[in-house]
Amino acid sequence: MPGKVKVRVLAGRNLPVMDRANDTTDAFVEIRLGTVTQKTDVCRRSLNPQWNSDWFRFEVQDDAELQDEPLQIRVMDHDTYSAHDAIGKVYLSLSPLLAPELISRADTAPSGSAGGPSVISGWIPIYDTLHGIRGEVNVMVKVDLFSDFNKFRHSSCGVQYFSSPCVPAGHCVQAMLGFVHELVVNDDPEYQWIDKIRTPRASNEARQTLFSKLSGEVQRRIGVNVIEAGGNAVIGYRQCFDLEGETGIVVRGIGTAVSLVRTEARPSSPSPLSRQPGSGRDRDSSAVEGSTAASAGLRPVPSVQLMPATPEQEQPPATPPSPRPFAAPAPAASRGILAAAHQFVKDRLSFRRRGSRRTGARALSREAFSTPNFQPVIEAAASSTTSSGADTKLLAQLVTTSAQQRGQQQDNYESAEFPFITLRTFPSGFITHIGGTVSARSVKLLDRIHHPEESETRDAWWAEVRTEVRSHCKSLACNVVLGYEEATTIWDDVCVLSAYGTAATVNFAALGLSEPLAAARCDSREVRSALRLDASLTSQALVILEEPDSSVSNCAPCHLPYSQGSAPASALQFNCAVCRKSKVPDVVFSTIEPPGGLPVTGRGCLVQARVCREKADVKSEVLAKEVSDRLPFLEYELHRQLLTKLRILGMNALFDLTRRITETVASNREAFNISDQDESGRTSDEESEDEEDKPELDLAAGNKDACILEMDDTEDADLLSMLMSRPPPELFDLVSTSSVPGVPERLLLDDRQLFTRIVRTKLSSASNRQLAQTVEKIIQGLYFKLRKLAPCALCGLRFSVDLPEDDEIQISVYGAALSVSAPLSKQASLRSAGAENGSADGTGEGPGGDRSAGRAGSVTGALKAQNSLWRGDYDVIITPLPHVTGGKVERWLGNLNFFFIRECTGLREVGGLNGFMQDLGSPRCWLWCAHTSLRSEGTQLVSYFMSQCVLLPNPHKNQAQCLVNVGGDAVLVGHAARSDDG
Amino acid sequence: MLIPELDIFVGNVFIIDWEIFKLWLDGHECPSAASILQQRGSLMAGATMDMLHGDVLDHYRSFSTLERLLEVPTLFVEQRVLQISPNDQTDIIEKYYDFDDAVMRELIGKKPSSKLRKELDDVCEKTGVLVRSCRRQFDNVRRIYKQVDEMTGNVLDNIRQQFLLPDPLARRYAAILFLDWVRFETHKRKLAHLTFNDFFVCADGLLRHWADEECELDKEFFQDLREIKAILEREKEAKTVTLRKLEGGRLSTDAAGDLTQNFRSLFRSLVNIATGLYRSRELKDLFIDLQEKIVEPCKCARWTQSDMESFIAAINFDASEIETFRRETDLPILWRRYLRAVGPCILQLFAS
Repeated sequence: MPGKVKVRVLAGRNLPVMDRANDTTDAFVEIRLGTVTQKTDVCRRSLNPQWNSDWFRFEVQDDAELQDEPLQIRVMDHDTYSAHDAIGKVYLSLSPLLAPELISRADTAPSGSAGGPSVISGWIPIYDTLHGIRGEVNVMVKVDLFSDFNKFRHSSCGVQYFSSPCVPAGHCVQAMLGFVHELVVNDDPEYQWIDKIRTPRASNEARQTLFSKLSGEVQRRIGVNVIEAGGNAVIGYRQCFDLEGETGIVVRGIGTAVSLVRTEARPSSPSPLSRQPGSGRDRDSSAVEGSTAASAGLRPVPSVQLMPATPEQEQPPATPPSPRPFAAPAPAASRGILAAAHQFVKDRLSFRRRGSRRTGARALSREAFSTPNFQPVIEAAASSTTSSGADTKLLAQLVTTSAQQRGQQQDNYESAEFPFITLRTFPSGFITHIGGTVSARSVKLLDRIHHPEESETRDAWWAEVRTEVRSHCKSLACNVVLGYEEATTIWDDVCVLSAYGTAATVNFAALGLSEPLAAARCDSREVRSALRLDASLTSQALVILEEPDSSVSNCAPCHLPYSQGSAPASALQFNCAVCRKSKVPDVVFSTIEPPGGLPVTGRGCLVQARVCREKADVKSEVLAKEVSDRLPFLEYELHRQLLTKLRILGMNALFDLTRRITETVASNREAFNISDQDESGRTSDEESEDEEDKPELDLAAGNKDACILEMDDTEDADLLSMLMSRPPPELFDLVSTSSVPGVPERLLLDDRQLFTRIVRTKLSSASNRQLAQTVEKIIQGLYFKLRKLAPCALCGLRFSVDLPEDDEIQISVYGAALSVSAPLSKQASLRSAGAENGSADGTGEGPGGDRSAGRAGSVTGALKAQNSLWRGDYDVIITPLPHVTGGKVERWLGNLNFFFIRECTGLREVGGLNGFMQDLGSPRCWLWCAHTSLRSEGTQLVSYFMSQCVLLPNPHKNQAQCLVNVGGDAVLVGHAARSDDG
Repeated sequence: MLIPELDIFVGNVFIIDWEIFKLWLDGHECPSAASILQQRGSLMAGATMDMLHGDVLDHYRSFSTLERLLEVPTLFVEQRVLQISPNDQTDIIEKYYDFDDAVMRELIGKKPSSKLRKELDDVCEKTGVLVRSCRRQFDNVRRIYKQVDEMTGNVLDNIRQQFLLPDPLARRYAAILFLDWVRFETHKRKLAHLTFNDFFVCADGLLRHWADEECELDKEFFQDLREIKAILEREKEAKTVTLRKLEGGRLSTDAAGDLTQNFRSLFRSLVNIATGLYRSRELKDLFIDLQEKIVEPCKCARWTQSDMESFIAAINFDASEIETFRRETDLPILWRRYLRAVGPCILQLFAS
């Protein structure tokens, strides 16, 4: 689609003084799109210039270019004799202007629907990589697109992106079309020869422009995949920059392609499949209509109604056999353990031929085209929404039929390539069973990418890892992987790719079960594995116990999806307490949010396992070998730690708890009473354990070279350091999920604060203990920093750990502080009282807890008054959660994703590293605010993420550089709905 | 435990800790602020001194970012470096521009020059306020002085609009500027016991009654005041009228006795001060004259505050009371306008 971009530069304000002689600036603006540059007049001697320019026009042949290229607005100071000085720049992504503002029709074809020109206008901060924010510029940008129906287009205008790992509020999913992924490789300008002769500013800007371009390109390509699959949006979209250094930059995006409609526009009843095969797009959307309402379970509908598609689905054509043999169940898998995979392959060896540069969805959709009579198989596999009926069948077969039949079905999935869903929040009833966490890792050696256009090797690596995840998933007898995520860790030329998710079976039939039952579920997130002197892994877990007194609940998610016989002997299984038919595992690990409708006993809290290992001082190949050798041990230990921690908290005591509940379920329905008893029981157990461990600790501590052979000692040390982790104080709750499990949502009042904490410190030894201490300290620090907001719940916590230097560790954490209404703190006191009574070594928390309990009353009172003033006080609220606490999302305004580079050449002058980073931290938020509020007032940024924060300090040269990748979804929020609750 | 190389905490919105803000305004360095907080018991259970120290550091860094912006409050409210709620913004500005009376007492009546800035160490020594805080207060005055000096129009409005200060504070600054502009003598030993508030009350009175909205004193009025000399011819009449008005125990016995003896000198001093005001040197000495010639003699004679109030009220003659006034009708107007400003000044000086 050709398009026309029109830009007007109105004015600037608060520009810096560029001409010292007369304390003014002669500013003009350069507007650049692609290779075309246009300029305004010079506005002499003013720090608040008024340009009031005419419209600058840029004619663009292909809208693909509009998606890739950011509009660059550069503000300059005019110098008559010397070169003009740069004041700063604005990068404006035009993508939001290309998307239709709302998806309002069931017909998802976006191509022709470009209505009137969309406009961006307002004050935008001018950003300079060396000086930060330098004033603001007021611009107006319009885009006109001319419709054309060229089939072979590379653009994907109209596809919406959501970082939120859930179905956006106010929308409903017509069809989940599958996993989409895309990857672009480029040289890193920082490592090109030209960088040696460039100024730091030019170098940073070149890099930032490139990042912006690559990010646009990845998004566009994913969009093409989505359109080809017949969708109109990507949810759970995640984008990562891998800075490989010498070998270049890799920008990766993954997401779940869906076709999305606004709820208002939803058809009132599922329509029969009237329009069957046609063009690819038609077929999808009609199939989709068949199950609109039930898809994503926004409105649960008995599965019986959803059968129309079944006949066709029952005998899918045999698709090419999987590239890998069906993997046998990993020994630990049945307990929900991470089925660790590790391979050390030099990329040259693991090269996998592939015709297309693109993988995944592209290849898939080609297949779909070739079999026009069937819905794309990916729908059956990945979504189970489009063809829930069929899915039910598949499931039944999976559970009951012989291995042979299973193999056939597997083939079916195989053809779906990757049945992954990147969402983390699902409506109740969507998930039938959670199989367990699956993950795969692969260690690779990076080598120079000779042709930046060829991203094959990286594609092949990921394909390998994904295939592995899929096979693990299958070995757990599950059909999809939920909450799927990918990550890389790079050290020198060694790169660890990891992918993880939660294997599960999904469908709607589970709604039939109405009786409650107890089970435990936890959310474990691999945070990061870092290589270096030591490889470190961090992981969080969250445990929820089911509550017995909820009448409409769902036990099925916890049932084992496979039969008992197939599980290894080591796995503990128990009969489900209520239905007494199915088996439940003692612990469930998953990477997703607690499924809706799952009743919870007790309250969720953060569980973190941290492992830290020494690494031999070797390089490249040897290092890669060593890392890959050690990874499984790290994984194992992490899992072990998580499990032990759960026990210590008395929260994994599923067996105990289940028994108790069955005893009392008839007469006593006080959940808290039950969980409390249970906890104290468990903690007292721990007391004795603790004492047993103590003598052994000394041995372990004396042995600095804690390594694989001395596993037992290390473990004991771990155990002890874990015991030392304190429960959150009275008025705080700490979880990595988006709401506190076990706390009714209405008690969460308001987004109070988005906090980011970054700590970089020396790590003297690679001991688990020191790591644990550091992290504990950070968490304690959070409580302290947020003490004035108490009582509050810290939700959506994300930790990331990095080892930038031999002996340095950088830990960053961000999350949202939600204010909580009074009843919560009472419950909290009950719980922590229980924990404290039993705590083995009362290291001062006991009295402290009491004191803060005394303060609780007055604090709460003060908070009430504060709360009423809260809303509307701030321009923009940012939250890492996918929803707005205490408000309602009214409109989704678009996805934001930005990569910042900031350099500082006077580190001491800005107050050292701390000053630099704090300065950077706030304008970062500021820039976001400005970008967000550009679109309209009352906006909020949800699903905020900080996926990268690379800090390169050079204190000897008095310099520092920082790279940050942040983003989220801009939304328009209405608060009225909840105002009476507060 | 090692001190981390980097340890920052950034929030999307800036939730200000007023306690730390106060300590910062008071000029405490970070470690001393932290230990003060610790003594006040700000440490929660489980919190360590490190955390408190880190928290204070975080705040201090934010404050120093804010400080640059606070120099131009109109920019400060537009800034988006830190998201601050409008209420907090107003409070921050007000608190930042607020000052210690003791420090300001040392600064009034002097041109806010860089020479004076160098002498702030003495101010610090004298007042016990930390030198950083003194500097802030001085810089605030200097900034307002410079900016308002260049502007025309209503001074009070200018201060309010340019610095977004609330009315009472703006009024105090207007008085400070006024004292500086006229260079009133405020630092002689005889005036040393007076507080900033005394001068504020005096200056505020003068501004209200003798000056226009640009804080320019009414020079014409001072010229006209010279005419008031005529009243001295009728001094006896004035004394009679005054004493008659004060009959019936309105004065204490000490004061009544003193007044009958010394009415002449008191009355003459008052009139002489009035007639001399057109000379800028005498205008500058207004406070010292009032102190020396009116306040001190009366204090020696053990007048009470209410004696002074009654006396001021009594000599506020109207046109019918004095023969001279009956003849020249503009004189009583001048006299009363003169006393409206000087009367409260005398009372304020007498009270302290």
